[in-house]
Amino acid sequence: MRTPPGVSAATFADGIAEMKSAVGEEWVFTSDPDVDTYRDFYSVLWGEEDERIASAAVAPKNVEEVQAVVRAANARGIPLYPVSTGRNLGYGGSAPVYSGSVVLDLKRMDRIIEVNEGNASCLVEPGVSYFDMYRHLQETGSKLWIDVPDPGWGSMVGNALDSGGGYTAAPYRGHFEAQCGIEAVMADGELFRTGMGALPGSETWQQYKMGIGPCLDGLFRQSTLGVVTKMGFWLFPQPEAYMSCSVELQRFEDIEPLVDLFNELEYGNIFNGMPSIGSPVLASGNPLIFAEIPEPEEMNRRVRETGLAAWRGSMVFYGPEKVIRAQWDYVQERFAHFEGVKFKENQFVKLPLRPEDMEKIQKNRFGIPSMEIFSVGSRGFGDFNPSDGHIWFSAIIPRSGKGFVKANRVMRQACAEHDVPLFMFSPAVTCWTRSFVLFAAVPVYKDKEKNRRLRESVLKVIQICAEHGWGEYRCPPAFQDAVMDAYSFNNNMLRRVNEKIKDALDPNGILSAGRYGVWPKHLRDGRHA
Amino acid sequence: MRRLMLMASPPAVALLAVAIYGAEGTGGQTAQAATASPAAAPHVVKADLPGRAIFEHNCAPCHGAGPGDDGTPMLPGTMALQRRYEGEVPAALELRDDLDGDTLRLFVRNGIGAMPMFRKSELSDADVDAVAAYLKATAEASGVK
Repeated sequence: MRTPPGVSAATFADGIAEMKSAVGEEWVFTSDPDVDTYRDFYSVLWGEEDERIASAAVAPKNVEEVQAVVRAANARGIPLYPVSTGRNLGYGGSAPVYSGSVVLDLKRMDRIIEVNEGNASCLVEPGVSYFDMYRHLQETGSKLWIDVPDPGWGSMVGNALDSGGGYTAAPYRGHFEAQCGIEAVMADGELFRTGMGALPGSETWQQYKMGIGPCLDGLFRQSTLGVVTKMGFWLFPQPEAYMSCSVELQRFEDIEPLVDLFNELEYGNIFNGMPSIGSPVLASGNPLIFAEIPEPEEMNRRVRETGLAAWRGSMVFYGPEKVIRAQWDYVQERFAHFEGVKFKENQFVKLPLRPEDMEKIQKNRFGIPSMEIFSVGSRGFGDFNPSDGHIWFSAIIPRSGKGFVKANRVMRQACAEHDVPLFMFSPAVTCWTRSFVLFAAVPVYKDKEKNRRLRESVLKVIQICAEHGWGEYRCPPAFQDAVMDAYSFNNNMLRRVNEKIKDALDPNGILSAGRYGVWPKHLRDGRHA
Repeated sequence: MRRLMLMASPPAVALLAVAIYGAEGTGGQTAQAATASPAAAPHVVKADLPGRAIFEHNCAPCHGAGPGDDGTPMLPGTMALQRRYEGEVPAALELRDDLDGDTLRLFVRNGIGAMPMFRKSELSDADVDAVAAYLKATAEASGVK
């Protein structure tokens, strides 16, 4: 049996025995073959000494069992690493950040506790996947939609806690922003509820987030402070119709007014679906890799020669048909003064969906989970060779035309200079309404030398982005310290405050040590020299 | 004797990640539009066994027999097997009669390609055996020799 660092074999065995008595022997995993199923299959440290691996795993079925496991660990200083469904692949999967941690696997906690049609909300446990919730809504005849990320097998709770996002209307796309009410087991085993959940008898836990005093939901986002055992979400009442449209503009110089006007229209609630700023002329090669944006003269020359637009701003409308058609009319009025502008209604769908619609639609725009995203690589775009997985590089950049162009150029040049292989590089997109994100998907292999070079390269790109003020919103464990270091205002005050909170709420440092660069006191000495 | 075929996974992207490419987000050429024309979904006669629900919940989103989402030719796991074996064995697992529980477990517990391991908290050994029984019965009911 593997043993966590700093914990004696006897103490660990004693702790494991107590965990077995709490959850049942069959749900505590200590054999190497079982524990190996918790490895991060997309790890950039795969097979290396520094690969983050668990010492054991324990899978409780309910809150009381979670409390018992946490208490057993806290009494003995055994590190725990909670995961929901463990499908955060590309960002760490089910492996701990701190090797030797016991993975607290919450997959078996899969109850959909409530779906409230009138309030358009739900309350779920962390093992509930998007597939599970979608199936439940279908089977019960619900008129509510969930907002789903690309792969549907992930946890609603886990995805929200890691700041995942999806594709439907603005209030639901940012999954942490769409949460309303958290229950968590703290490091001492005490049960905590945020917002109105703290008021016994309240019927508004999934209606009003704040409760009274400081709003503490954020303590659990990408954090090391608790084991979230319940979470509420706001759901999207099925709209009457969906319409996706786009505006094409013909000159490089149009990018800044395009983004500014998109911002005004989205912030003014003229459209509510996810916007995207792409470029037909730059995506004419591999559509998955947004090319480096050239200088204005060169881009305008390509536009003239190919007849392809310089920019395409895409937007989605959800709502009653007559309302969204009026909104689209208004958008066209606002763009009418651009020379050579072209408007396209790409798709109009009346809801609810009919069976024949299913082969025409992009499912995640309709809150339908799937594994469609896994098809992309196997379609053989470009010269991409099948890899053993991937990681994401996901930088928050300014939502302006100037900011987008600069970030595109700097990141593409940095990836080229440091030989970062790409199989996706995104246009300007966002799940969140007030910023853009540039995503790069990077293949990983079960090859130590390739991965060593990849790690070095990604660290350089993180540094280059930080020098421009662009930080990642989420990243694999191997880069979490570096990314947290980039948020360095006032001598890394962000991390230092997080450490103070960590020390106060988890004095023995047992929960999620090292997650997103926050280490407990006994593990951080010398780490930030 | 028929040799066992390894299950391959696609060079997949994006797990628990946010959306990147909408139909309009890639310069007008959708991922769907760039693929080969869709193939007809194979005819599958699903066996009425307990493993059916387990397969449909846990495996079918990638390894189902139907066409993929948005009219793509196949679901991603099925597509990957098609690309690997080029029809030497059926790409759809429900048409495979050569996958017993131990064989399935080898891939389920160890992962392959971009398909990660499945833990016992997700799929028990008994679940895997039930899926194997369902696949074999379904392949036979579907006329696989």
